[in-house]
Amino acid sequence: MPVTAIGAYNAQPLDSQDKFNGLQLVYLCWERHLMFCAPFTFPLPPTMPFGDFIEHVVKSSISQHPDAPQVDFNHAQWRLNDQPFTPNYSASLIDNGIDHKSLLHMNTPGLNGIAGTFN
Amino acid sequence: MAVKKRLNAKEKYRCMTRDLDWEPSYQTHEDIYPHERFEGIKITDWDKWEDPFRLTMDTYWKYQAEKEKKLYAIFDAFSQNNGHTTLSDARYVNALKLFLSGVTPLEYQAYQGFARVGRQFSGAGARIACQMQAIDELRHVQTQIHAMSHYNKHFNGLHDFAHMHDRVWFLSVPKSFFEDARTAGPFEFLTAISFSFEYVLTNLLFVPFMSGAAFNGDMATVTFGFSAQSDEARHMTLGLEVIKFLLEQHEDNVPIIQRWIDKWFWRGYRLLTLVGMMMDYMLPNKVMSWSEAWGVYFEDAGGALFKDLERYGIRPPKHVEETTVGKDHVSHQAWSIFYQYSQATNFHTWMPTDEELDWLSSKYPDTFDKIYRPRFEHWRALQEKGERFYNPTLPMLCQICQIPLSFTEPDEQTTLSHRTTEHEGERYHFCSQGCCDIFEYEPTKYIQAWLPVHQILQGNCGGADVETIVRDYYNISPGQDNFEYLGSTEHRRWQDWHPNDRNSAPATPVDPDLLKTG
Amino acid sequence: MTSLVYMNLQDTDYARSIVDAIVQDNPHAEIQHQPSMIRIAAEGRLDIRRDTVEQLTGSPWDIQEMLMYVITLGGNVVEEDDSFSLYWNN
Repeated sequence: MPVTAIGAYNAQPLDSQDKFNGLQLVYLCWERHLMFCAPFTFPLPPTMPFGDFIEHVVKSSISQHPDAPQVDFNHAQWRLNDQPFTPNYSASLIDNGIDHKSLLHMNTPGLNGIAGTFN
Repeated sequence: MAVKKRLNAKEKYRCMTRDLDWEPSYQTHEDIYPHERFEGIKITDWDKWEDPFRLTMDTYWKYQAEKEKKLYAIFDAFSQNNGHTTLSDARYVNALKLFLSGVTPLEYQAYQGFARVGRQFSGAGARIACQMQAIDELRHVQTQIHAMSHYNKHFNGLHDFAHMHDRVWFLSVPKSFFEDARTAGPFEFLTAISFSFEYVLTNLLFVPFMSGAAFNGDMATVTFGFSAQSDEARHMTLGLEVIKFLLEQHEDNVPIIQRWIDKWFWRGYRLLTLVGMMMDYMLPNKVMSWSEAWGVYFEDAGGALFKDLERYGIRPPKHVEETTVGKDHVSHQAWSIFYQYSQATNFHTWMPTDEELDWLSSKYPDTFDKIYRPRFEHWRALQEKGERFYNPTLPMLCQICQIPLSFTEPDEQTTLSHRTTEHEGERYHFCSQGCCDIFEYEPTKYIQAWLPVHQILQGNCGGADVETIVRDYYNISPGQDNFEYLGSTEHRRWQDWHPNDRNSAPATPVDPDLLKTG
Repeated sequence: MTSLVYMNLQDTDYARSIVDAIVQDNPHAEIQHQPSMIRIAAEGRLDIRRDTVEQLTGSPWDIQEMLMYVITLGGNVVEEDDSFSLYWNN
């Protein structure tokens, strides 16, 4: 619906990809690990291989969680923008379909957070 | 003809307000009041406006002056007697830092908002009520600043509240709330602020802070609170009068008002997350739980209100049933956010003591021990090892309320709530259906939201790393204003003032370098 | 059940004299003492009359003065020269 306004009302999105200096935003939610209060926001090169994303971005972000050492990324279940997703580790983010402001959900079955409380 | 020597209150008020108005003879109503029609609200007869309180300017000045004299005398006495040393505990002052940087600038926005709409209504009664409220709000800005100024001499984080309000990541939550209202038309502004905020939800802002002050030895803030509350009674009645007037004027107004009530209830509920957190976690002496406050001040009081409005065809706000679930969660979720991001706050955070954990368990029997205690005990254990937890990443923010997506689904309390939509090829994310609904109704307004995390990542916040941004862009003094309470300058100073106080918890020796995060 | 109207006053000498008058004119009202506040609640309606207050205090009383001591209230307001009322329509 158009904005209720006194005249013509046009605006530009403040967060289009061109404003991020060649990078794109990717969000990651590690399901059932509420110790991290919200999904993470990452600025990443679209050409970054998914494997590098895991090795150099995800691992360090979750490292303070007691479950982190047990995460087997090969058996993680993924959703990309709410659809089931199987990542190709050697392909880039963009070639995996992970574009600007995409949200990834990572589920690690069997790892249920601090003392199994999903924290 | 007998001439009456004295007018009664109603007549006097009418003579000195509406009767000073006139019909324009050489300009049209539409040109003088250009913003009255674009929202679709139909006013057939401004004479039906009932002035809720009939304070003429002379009476107004008289009573306000009396209140001011009393108030400043108490500020002086508090200051002269070093009142800050008789607080329950120095942790309490962190609630004031949140208040001064988060709430006081909103009073200033309220002043600006009411001054603007006070020019926009063709009904003189409404104009005057808004103009007087504008003056009240400016008074609140000033009296709050004065109340806090004493604390600024002895505590950190209070030194640049206006600057921080415009820049610091979590302060975009209150700032964007009010900017949304002020950039709306005059009738939406009144529905948002006079009705939804100043009537429906006001007690949920004031009672926690003011009772919190009373219970924790903060005479300055208590006195400010009482001094302001008498103004608030007038504001509340304006809010109720406005809504009834608009609903009675034309049946076409009902669906418009209903939509605004839905939107602003949800926005207000989300904004009050910060207050809930303050109430449950930042008051050493507890008043009541946030859940209890929501029950009394919204569910009970609001229940009566919406029952009264049924006759106009108004129903309770959309998603209200979610707030009944949320009241047992949001304060804990919010404290978790601020605890783990305290490298970037202008106030300290800490883990609750054992007594406080038990109080939380008793007040939240269905949620606290199951979901929140485990993480707090884990964090406390980390802290005792010298590994106090700070989240090294930036959080995902909701496009509307701008709070990190930390709320859980109402029917699945271990799943973070998330909604998403696309608009003109761009993706947008929300914490809830309530926020998503607001976006979908007027998307163009919100695609330009200044989201702090995204602005940082665009390079617009003066630095590449959090530490630089905190110091240079936020003007938060690193190592002084931020990080953990235990071992902070304020904590140590409090212990110096109270060497025999067994309640000023012994500082766990914490290596300052370990407080920092990469 | 009709909804409750309510008014919270600051707990001062001044307010306490008003509370006595309210109780006299509104036998159905409930008075609750909370820290620093006196809460007056009643089903459906509450009426405060100037003459009752003046009788009890022995001094002239201006209803608008009371507003300086009000903390919060709930209900539709009717403010007249000689009375101040709160009511709900349901």
